[in-house]
Amino acid sequence: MTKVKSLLPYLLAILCLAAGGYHLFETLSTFKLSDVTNEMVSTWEVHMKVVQAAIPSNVFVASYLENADIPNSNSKYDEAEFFLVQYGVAPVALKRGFGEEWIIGNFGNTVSLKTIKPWLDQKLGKYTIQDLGFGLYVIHDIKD
Amino acid sequence: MLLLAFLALIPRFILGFLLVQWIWKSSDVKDLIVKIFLAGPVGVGVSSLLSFLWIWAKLDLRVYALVETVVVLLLLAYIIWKQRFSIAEFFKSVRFSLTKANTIWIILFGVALLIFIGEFWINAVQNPHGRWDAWSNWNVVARFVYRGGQHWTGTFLRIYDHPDYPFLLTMANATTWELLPKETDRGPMVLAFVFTICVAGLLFSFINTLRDSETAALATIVLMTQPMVAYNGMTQFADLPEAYYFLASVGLILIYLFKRERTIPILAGLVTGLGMWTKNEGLTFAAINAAAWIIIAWTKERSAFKNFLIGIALPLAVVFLFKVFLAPGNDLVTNRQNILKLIEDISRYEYIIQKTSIELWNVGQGPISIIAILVLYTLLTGKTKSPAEGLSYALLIVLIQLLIYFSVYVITPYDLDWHIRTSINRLYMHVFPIVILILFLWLKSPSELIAPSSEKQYAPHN
Repeated sequence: MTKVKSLLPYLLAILCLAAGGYHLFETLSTFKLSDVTNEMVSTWEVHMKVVQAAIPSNVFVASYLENADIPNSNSKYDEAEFFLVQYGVAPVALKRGFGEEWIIGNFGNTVSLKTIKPWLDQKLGKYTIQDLGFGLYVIHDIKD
Repeated sequence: MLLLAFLALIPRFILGFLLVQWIWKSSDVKDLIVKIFLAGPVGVGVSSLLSFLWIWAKLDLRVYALVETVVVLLLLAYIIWKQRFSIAEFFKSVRFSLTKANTIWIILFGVALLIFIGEFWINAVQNPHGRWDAWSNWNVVARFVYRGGQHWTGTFLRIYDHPDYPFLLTMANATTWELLPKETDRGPMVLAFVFTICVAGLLFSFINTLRDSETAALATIVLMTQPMVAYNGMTQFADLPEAYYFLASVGLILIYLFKRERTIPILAGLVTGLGMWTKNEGLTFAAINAAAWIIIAWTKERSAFKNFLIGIALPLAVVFLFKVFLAPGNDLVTNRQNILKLIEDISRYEYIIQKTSIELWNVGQGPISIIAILVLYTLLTGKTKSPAEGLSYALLIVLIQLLIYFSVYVITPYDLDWHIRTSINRLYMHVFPIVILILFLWLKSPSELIAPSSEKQYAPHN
């Protein structure tokens, strides 16, 4: 009995190593190099660099618009995309809706500029808009 | 860039080591291992406190980073020169003896370490920016500090889930970027790796000091082979660093009760305070720890609590200033009107118990329930004849902290199921290393199981 008991710590260690090793093997077997290169946040970061460059460096607060803000849109607010944009454009703090001089529009590829233009015309009056691709726009509300 | 990000942390490791050595002057080899695994997170933590005060005073973070690095390296050179003879003597006196049992444990430990590191990096390269909370809550603030310069307070204008999160990780990552000088995802990744390794290392070193190297190796193998630990590390959330500081706080209580060295409570106070500066859960943990030190002071040595207060003073002051003058209100307690209604709802308690119990059973996230394995192992081996002093304090601290987490679930303003599902594993992570520490100091050691008749006594070295 004593001999069996003396082996218990080794058994525990080997059992844990087997379980840990098995989990690692499973993780490795699902690992794809394409997942690394196409990783979601890194992909967004590429687009966010373009957005950042389109906003003057002395701007620290901007408005954020997305599909859910468009009148009669069926889209729901996408929290993940909001945080991805916020992460990308920091130190510019984002506020949802209109209100700031600089506005980041994240409308995705399904919405065309033609669709949103009447809505922006009505809300903003005089403004400039830069189409940055990937459904991203930087809008400058030119206050008279 | 990975290596450079690691090199950027070295001055802060040195700062931590010098600070720990200055407070706790023991030259015991086992204590030295504890100090090595305290050094990194203590250095990173203290640096983050000072750098935060620096930027709050509207000074340039890059200047701080450079000044800190130069001062630390000069101090190190001076100390090495001044102590060169005693350092040489120390290394001459260190002897390693390898027995057959030791060799087996070293091999098993090595395999576990490889699994641990592999699990971390495979997940880390797939998530270079960490998981959701890392980029939505933690690293985004570091960007405000690094990119924003004097406009860093713009971070408080953001829309976010937890507006009052403290700045330990923020300042640590922003300082790394200033030193490189480049904003890279490798900085937070390396910091996360350091904390992950240090949790395992600190657990090993505590049990190695309080017990023996075989028990320490076994406990650390158990910890490192739980996928939850490496996973929580690579997420770049603050939960693994929080688990580290919690483990350090409790471990230092046990070390103090074992050695009765008067300055250890100062160190315990410091790491407890750094836990407060890491995440809000550290606030309640610090209060519980303070109560434990009051009891220790009352029953053992009067100066213990006073020294604990000395240690916690700087982080406590910074957290206080941060909470009072900068941070918006906490999302869990601000503008709450229906708390009483939630407290009276018995079904919420039943639901929480049910959900958290299921999660507890799967806590390690491995293919076999670590809880089942440890229960079985405990039943088969039994209690040691000489458990470390203070284990009941440690267990009580864990239980009270878990009770607080339970209470937060009761009154949460969020959907209860969502809140439990998205947080319970991280909360268990906070106390998991402490539970392993307590368990393996309470159980018979491998050497006791080999020779049960030889009642091995674990006495202080001094």
